[in-house]
Amino acid sequence: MQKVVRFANKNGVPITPRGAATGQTGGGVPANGGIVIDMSAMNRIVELDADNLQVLCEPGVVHADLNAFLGKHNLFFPPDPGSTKMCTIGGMVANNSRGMRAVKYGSTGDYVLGMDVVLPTGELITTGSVDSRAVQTSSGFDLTKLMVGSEGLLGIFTLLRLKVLPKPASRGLVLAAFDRLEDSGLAVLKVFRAGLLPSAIEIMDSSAIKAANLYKPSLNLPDAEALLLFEVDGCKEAVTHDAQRVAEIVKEVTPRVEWADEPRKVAALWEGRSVVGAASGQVRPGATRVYAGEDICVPITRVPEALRGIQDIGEKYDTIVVTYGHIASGNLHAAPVIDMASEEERERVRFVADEIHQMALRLGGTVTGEHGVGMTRRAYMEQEHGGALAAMLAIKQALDPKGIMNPGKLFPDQVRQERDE
Amino acid sequence: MSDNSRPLADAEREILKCPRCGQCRAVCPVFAERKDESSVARGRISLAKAMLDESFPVNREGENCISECTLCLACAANCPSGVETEKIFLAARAELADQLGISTIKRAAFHMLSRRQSLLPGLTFVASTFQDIPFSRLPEDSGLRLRFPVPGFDREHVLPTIARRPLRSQLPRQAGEGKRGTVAYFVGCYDNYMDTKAGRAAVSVLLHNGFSVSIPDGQGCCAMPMLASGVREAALPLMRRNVDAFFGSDVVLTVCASCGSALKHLYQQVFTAVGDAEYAEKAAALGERVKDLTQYLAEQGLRKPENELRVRVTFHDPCHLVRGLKVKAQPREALRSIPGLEFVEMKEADRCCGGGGSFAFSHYELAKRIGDRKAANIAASEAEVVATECPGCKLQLTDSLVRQQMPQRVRQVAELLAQAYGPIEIKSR
Repeated sequence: MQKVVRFANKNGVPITPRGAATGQTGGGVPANGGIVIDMSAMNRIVELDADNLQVLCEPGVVHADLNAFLGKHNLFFPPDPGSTKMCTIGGMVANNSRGMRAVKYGSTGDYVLGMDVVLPTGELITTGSVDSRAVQTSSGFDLTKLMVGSEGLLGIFTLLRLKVLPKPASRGLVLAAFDRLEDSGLAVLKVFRAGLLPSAIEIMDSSAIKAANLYKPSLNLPDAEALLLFEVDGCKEAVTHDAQRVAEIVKEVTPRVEWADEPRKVAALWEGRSVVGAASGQVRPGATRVYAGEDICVPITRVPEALRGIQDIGEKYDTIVVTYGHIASGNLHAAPVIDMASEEERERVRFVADEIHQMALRLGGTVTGEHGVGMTRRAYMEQEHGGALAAMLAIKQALDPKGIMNPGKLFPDQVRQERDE
Repeated sequence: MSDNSRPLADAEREILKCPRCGQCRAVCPVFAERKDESSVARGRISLAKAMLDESFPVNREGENCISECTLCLACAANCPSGVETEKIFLAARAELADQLGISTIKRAAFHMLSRRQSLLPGLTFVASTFQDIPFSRLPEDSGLRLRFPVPGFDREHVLPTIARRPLRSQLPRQAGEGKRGTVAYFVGCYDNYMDTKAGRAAVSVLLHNGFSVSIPDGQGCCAMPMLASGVREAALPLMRRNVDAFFGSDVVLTVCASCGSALKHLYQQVFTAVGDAEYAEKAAALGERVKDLTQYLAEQGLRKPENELRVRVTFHDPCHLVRGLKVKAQPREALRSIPGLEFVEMKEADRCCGGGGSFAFSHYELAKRIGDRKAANIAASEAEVVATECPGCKLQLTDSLVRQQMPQRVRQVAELLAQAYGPIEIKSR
């Protein structure tokens, strides 16, 4: 790896590191040509240090494979993206992905203790203290945190040291249907105010409910303006208690609530949420769900407003937009469904995405909650970060003076042009 | 936009439907071994698109990538966007065959199957007589292996034994006088020229269940090998002949999942793609009547066999059965109906065995690796017999088990059923 990077650096050849390329932003696409380094085959789980609650693995390990391995030792790696079956750990770290359980367990970055990275100039460094097996450190600049979410612009990970946790023994689920979208937000706030911390709180809007039912009629999800799924985890007794408590609290807002702590029932209820990403395209036969404006994150209190906003934008541009997401962290996945054969529709959906992104910033949010910037959201970086963007660029230039690592990503064009000049 | 006369142009809509989510990476048996984007549906679709818009040339490199696929349909079955990958891959193969041609061996075999069918019984007789010279027989008639090296073939590879007389020349046009009605039987090449015991077992099972069986003349190869190789001009005459042969049959049964899947879905798709509206319509009508043997018996009520078979059996779902014909429970029910038989489910029963028709010959190294995973799952199930419902899978599973020196034997479901029903007379032609 070092040899390749040194060669590229010497000759000014762009390098694009690539995991499973399940990202939604073109992060693994070689925008300026050059070398693509596919990490898929670097997929060994190198060492499990169970007593110290950590695992060392290569970046190409698939998330589901890691958790299948850890599960045998009653451990788990908590971040849980929808693409678990195919996304790689390296990609998750590079994009600081989160997934459904972020409300309780946080982001991928919260579980990265250290890593080996080949820097853009070819040096191999270890972040998070060389030879350390500590689960925390205050020593020096936190280069691990810097590398998390760096989208392949600051180096190539070759080994990751990850924190893992004991696996919860059981899970319970509460399903609540709301006639008014706004009430769903209120229900979430009430649950938090009661001192409860579910492991996931997911929302599906009416179009997402429709899509899931079309995709799998046996789901038979209730017709509503919004559907919330609360997941609680822990020991069996705590799960039953918490699921009942959540159901009681939510019943103050809507009468349409059911809960379950029996694994098969839980799996059946959860299925509605798990298929919705896949099912979005079903709302319009022959059409495809595209990833555009798909990852905004707004303050929790403004989620209902954002959901309405997305619906309005869809109507304005005569485009079906299915929306679902992680309401407890304000992270919403909007899924426009278009006919890919129509050039006009492909063009129109760009405006849909732009308005969704602008709305997120207007509501005090961010254009991306967990997917990253890549090629598709560079245009918003100055608006979102202001002067901080220049500091990011200074870091980039210090580590990658020739700009070989994953060019064409994250930084807006005009910034790159200035740098080039 | 693209040139409409090109096979790939017809698949353009499917190509555009792929949102590149990468879900196929989780299920592709080839990708699991290769870990390379060019060996998974998403990569192949990107390549097909590039060939279509001419940003990548139609060349051998592209052919390697497109052909390195068992057509197991796992990607399509798990595709959130419902992309019909088979349509894209077959169109891409047709495009490649049109522009680059195919190997001499394939060309000769296809010519024989498609245009010189009448010579085949004589040829198989000769081949059957002399097969013991270049090949040694494996125990229990499980197949043949080359005695000496031949370029292009792996000596390790288990090949099928060739029958002395094709099954169709042994069977009458109409067998039995069952009271439950007449069903038509599509024999398929493998059971016709090689594993005639399995093909005969299917007829015997139907007779035992009170059906009379019609075996129409004129039927031949299902054309799947030609379609999979992209040689539509060799496939079309065969397809038309089969459509005509089964015209008027109320129900057409098969114990070869690949034949069944081709008859049920591909015929209509390909006739439509080449603009043959008349046969597209006929093929659609035929498709509705095509069923797997166990599927039909489950619908009609399977007669419980009397004889005991004290054996532990697992079932391997052929890709074209479980995803092509969408049949999963029925063969298991049929096996469970056999007194004394203990059915055990293996892990990843519906994962491809690595056969993929000629894939196992053209990509033997990969087929072996995919087959090894299947063999490990079979071993873990502790079954003594692996049942399946496709001769191609039977051959590939046998290859994997023999190579691993495992004692398990592979049988078609019909063979086990026929054994449990006991002998029944089938009049000769």
